[in-house]
Amino acid sequence: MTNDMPEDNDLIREFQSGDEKSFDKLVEKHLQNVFGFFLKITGDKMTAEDLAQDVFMKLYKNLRNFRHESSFSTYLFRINTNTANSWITRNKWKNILHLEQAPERGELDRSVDKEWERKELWDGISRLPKKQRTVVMLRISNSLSYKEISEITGISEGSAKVNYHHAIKRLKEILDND
Amino acid sequence: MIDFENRIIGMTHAESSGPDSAPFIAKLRGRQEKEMMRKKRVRSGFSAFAFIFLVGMLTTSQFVELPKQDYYWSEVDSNREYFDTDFPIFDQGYDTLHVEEFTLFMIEETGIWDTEDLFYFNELYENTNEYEVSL
Repeated sequence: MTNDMPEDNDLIREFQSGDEKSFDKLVEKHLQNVFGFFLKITGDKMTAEDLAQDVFMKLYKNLRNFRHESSFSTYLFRINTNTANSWITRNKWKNILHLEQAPERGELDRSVDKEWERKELWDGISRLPKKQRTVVMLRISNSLSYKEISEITGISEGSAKVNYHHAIKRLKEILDND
Repeated sequence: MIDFENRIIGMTHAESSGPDSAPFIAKLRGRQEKEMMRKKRVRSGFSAFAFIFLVGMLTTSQFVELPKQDYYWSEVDSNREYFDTDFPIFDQGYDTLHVEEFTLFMIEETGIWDTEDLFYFNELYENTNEYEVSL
């Protein structure tokens, strides 16, 4: 999490001193990453864009109070994971209903089959406890190291490893049963 | 376990170009504007409520018992007070007085001179006529 370009902090300082354009530059810089993170979770461009909008709205509201104690990317990842967690919880029931309406496997073509698998996976992830869910989300969506995950979530590296291990075990059970 | 990890990482793989930053930022600005307007509306609504509440409190605190002469007629309890006039004699017996007597009393005591003139001139006319006829 030390690969922050110094530009981020400069832009934040400029924004904090009243330059609104700096915020736009910050959005421009991080948009693809944030959008990509949500696209992997939702699999839907529109939803991913909406969630990215939510993230930048939250960022706009809170960035004036950013104290540069942690790196900006860690801060942004925290907002991302919180937004994703809220979305997953909100859509838990919706996902379950979708799964109940699943057509016969033989009728599906490959792309639909893949999309279905992805939905099953995120339904499984939504059933995990919050800590495990967050660790898995960060690990499989962004391939972050345990050290990076521990910085974002505020848990120790060891705890992140244990949580991930338990989560994968539980996910395997869920997906194999389904 | 590693195979399973690779499998789920493969499941989340999504390739798509992100949205254009310019329309995205414009949309974001629109949302920020909307949010600001909503906050402003809430704030002004609250101020309006506080103002009305304050005026209400100030008004209520000024409600005191009015002196008797300032009472509105609708607030007067007894009929006696309602029918009170400036004529003490009339007031004493108003409830037993006949309506016609009251009318006559009003004609005599008030400034309805036209009515009185009518009576007077009618009498004068009749007398004159009788006098002329007798000539």
